[in-house]
Amino acid sequence: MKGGKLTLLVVQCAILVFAGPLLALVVQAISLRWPFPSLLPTVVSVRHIVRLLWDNPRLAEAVASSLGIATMTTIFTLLLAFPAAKALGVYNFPGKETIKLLALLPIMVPTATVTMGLHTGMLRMGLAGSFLGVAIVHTVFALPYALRILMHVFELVGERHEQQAAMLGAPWGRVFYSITLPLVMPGALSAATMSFIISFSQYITTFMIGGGRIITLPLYLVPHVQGGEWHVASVYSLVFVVATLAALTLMQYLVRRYYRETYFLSP
Amino acid sequence: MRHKYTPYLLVAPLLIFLTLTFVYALAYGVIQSLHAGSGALGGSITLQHYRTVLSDREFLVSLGATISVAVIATLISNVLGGLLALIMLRAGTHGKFLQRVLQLPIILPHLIVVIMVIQLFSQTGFIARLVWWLGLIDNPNQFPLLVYDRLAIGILLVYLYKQVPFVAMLAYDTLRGISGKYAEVATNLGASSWQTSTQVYLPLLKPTIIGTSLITFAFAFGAFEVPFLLGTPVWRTLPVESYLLYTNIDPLARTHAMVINVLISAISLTIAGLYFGVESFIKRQQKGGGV
Repeated sequence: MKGGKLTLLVVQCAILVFAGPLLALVVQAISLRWPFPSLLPTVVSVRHIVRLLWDNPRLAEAVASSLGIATMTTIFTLLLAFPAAKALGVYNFPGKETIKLLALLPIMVPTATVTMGLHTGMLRMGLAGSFLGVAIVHTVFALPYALRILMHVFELVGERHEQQAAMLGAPWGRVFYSITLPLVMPGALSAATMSFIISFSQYITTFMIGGGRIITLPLYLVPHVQGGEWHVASVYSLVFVVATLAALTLMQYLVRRYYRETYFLSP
Repeated sequence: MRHKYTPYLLVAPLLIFLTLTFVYALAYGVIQSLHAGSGALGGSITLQHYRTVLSDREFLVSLGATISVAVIATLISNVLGGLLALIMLRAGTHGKFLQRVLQLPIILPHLIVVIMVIQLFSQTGFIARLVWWLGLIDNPNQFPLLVYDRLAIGILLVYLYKQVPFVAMLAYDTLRGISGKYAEVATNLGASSWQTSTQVYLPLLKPTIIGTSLITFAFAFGAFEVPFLLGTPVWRTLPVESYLLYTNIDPLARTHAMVINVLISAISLTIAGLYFGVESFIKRQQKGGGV
């Protein structure tokens, strides 16, 4: 179509550069022996992967903790960001710009710094070492992204449709359920996806606030990276990728089903 | 229909939450860093800890290194990401395919990218093997040290793998939103494709690139896992330095960790302030120039 040979070459190189390393991870995961100069593993096996994954209650627990905390974080984030995004995206009111600024600041300050500041308080409140405590800290870092996405959606959608429905006599709850929600659902999905990914990849926040009692996937993975067990680390990394993709696909599926029901089943 | 206080009620839960967590954390850091005694809160205030930390050579090296790494990562990833977006736009359907591929690095956590970089760039990694097959080296030790190295090349590679796609995706979205009409006008008026790129697309990309620069800088400045796992023993980045002090058994080290945290926050917030200043300046300029 458009573009010359050079353009195409650059695009192909970019595909290689960004997809290639993941392929290398897969090869590393199935390789049992891969000594120095060989470009491909000398001994390949899948059986030991099964052994690493099967009958490994600590891994199962780590996956469950990660999924649980990420789900909690996503729910907290949406509950806090949704109404605020509506106000900041649609209405004009004094103090709006200041609030926007404050809400976006947690992107700027390093996670380790904020977590150290919260650590003692969390210990005193009895939240350290609990799933709730970890999810609360993750929420601080997911909020700015979710808020930015939702704010943008509300700015585009505005309030006209809701006003029309309200003028025609629809009660508040019905306006929200039948007008607002379907309109902002794609944005809500992006915000949820972002929150989920942020929570799923947290390391130092979980490590400090969890106090060693809560082991998520990244915490389970890091010792193997530090110990140079590349093969084990690659297998667990793939578990990580699969779990993330599965959760995101489920979210997308739920939203799609929601749309089908909203548009075909309701009058 | 809508009450005057509705917007405030809607933002209240968010504000209360951020005050109890984020604002509390920063305030706690400031109070601890000024604390004179080693007992409970209260007592006198001192700047002694700041003097100690700021005159420490190790801290100054960390500070310089952290800022340098963040600035370099930001510059390279935004330039490459912006260029990649322009190329994707010209590549048509191939560009759309690349867009799908680029979602991958965005989803992958830094931790896994760290593993990938070690696999590819360590002295026994894939690249070293390729170089061996090409006959350029005889044994792994001859391959340059690219991870755990003093120049933080391994750390930079992780940031670039994550951030170039991030910048490219956002810039590509922006370009697709504006592309058609302006580019056509420019071409009709006789602009070459190079001129269209530099004089039409680039200025329109400016707000997006300023935004992504802020986010990429903030990340490269404050990341923990990446320098923690890939860093050289010669120097540490500030977040790693402050974490190691925080977990030290000496209570004074903990106070010094808080001093470093306050300084980190001050730098981060200053840059955020600059960003919002520039952003509002651009908005005003566009409004003024557009009419």
